[in-house]
Amino acid sequence: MSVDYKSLFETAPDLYLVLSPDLTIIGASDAYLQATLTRREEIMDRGLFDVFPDNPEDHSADGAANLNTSLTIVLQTKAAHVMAIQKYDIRRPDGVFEERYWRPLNTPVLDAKNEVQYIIHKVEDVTESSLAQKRFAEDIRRQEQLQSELEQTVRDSDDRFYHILNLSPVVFIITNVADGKLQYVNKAFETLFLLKSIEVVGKTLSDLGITDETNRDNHVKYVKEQGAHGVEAEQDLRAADGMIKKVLTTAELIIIDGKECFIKVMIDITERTRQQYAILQLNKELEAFSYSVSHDLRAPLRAVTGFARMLDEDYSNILDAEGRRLLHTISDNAVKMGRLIDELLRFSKLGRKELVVRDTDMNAVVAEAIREINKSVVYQAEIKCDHLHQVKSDPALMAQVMINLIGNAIKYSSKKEHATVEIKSQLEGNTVIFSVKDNGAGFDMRYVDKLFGVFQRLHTTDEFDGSGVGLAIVHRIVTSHGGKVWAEGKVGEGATIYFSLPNN
Amino acid sequence: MEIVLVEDNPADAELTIRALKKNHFANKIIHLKDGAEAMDFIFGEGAYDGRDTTHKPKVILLDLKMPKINGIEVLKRLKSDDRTKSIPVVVLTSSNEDPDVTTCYELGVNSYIVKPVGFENFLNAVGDLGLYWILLNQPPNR
Repeated sequence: MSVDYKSLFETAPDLYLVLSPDLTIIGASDAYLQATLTRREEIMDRGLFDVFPDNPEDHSADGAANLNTSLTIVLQTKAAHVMAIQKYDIRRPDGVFEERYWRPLNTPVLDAKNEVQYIIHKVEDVTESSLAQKRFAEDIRRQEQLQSELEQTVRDSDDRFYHILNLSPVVFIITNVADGKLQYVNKAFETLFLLKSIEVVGKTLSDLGITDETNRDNHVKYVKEQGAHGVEAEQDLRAADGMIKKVLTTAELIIIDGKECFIKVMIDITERTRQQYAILQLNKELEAFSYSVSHDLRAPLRAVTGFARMLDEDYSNILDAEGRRLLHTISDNAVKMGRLIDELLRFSKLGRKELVVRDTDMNAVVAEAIREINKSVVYQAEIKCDHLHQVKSDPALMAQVMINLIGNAIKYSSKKEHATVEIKSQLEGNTVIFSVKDNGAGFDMRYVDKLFGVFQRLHTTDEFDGSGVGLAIVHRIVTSHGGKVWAEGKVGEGATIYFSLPNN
Repeated sequence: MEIVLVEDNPADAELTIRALKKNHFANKIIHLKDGAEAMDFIFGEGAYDGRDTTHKPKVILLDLKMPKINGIEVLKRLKSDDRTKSIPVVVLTSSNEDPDVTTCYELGVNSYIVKPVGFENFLNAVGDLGLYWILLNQPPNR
């Protein structure tokens, strides 16, 4: 049986090219033609490098040169030569080159005289795995680049932190936990304690006379017991000139190069503390003054009213009606002055009172205010109250605000046939706005600015009794809560007082 | 003896006594002009040497702001001495703002009243006070 070797060769599943010793193509397998996008009749009897030139677009292409070298070796040594994986781009029929990777094996076919008759060029298309490798290599390269960029960033950021630490008005120091020695101090430390960084690094704060040893031991103990995080303490430390500096220290336990260290942040509160103390003193003086005013001014007033009364009782047979009227005017005014003093003291006390803020049910506050008002007010008014928003406030002070506002509303509408007072609230952005509206005497909007001043009144005492402190108190309380007060009114038609409180 | 009034301000003293009289405690009031005199009287010293100190007032009305020995010091003496600590003491003060009122309660004061500016109120306050302490509140038997 005869075998069709030509057909066998051409349909073999591997990629074969057969070359003559002068590198002319004299045979190729179908698989080869398919892989290289060529047709047999196009390449037969043509020079190898004429058919497969390097990709002219790829300037680093060396596939042709490498193949040439390998073939030369085969011709000289008459032995097979395995080439490394080659990038050897394939020219598509449209002239565009396609990126390809090959693993070629060149094997000589020798004749009887031991001369090279043919060279079988066998290749394996490894494009896919090569591309994957290439991508992998690129990934690695990119990663290395990122790493180096990151390192640069860290170096830059170290630089930045160094500058920030040195520019900071806050003192930063790092000490060893074991021996308390300073590792680092920033500029603010130098400025506060009047010591240079080079003088202090390697010494302890007690070596430098800034604090004493027990203080440090306590601190170490305290921080360790309390855990590593932000422990705050007020300390009195000594600067190089002997001045005591009050600092607020926050310490945190950190590990640097395997050693326990404290990073300490110190804020100089010397001046702040001094000012707080001065304010405290001032408040005390003010309190003493208030007490003295209230005591000393009231005593003579008591005498005026008391003795006027005695005169009235004991000498009523001598005094006529006009005489008694004059006496009553004297004592009424003394009583009024007493009330003014009380109101003024209450007003001044408000400014010194600390707010005790909590969730406040304004409905309860209003109910309490109305109960309180009913104890003293004789006028009748219909009070309409919406369901009011909750706020965060000092409920006792809010009650005072509502007593004053509702009390005013009732008072100023007392001359109306049907007096009504409406209390409402509405949410507007981050604030709750409360309003107390009456249909009473109202006021002229031209004088609205005077409404909230101490002892400022828009009505005479004959029209409506009052001291002129009520709305000033409202203003002060609302302002201290971070809110605002304003008013709208029209003479004879009524007034609305609004106040806003932050909605937490 | 029913009531001792310790008051340095003569006008206040006169008003208080008048108010007490109106409430029918007329012949039962002893007025002492300041803290020092009050001490002497209560403990039978100085000008009151030899006074029978077992005879105790039913109530002491004590003004706080007085020269020499103030009301707080008098109160402290009274409440720390076994002979006198059971005597009811009512402090008279000019104002609600008085920070000493807290101290008075710590020292064991029985009550306090703010002297009101209006005479009517003053009369009522003193009247209520007298009635309460003299008629309703029985001091412990000794």
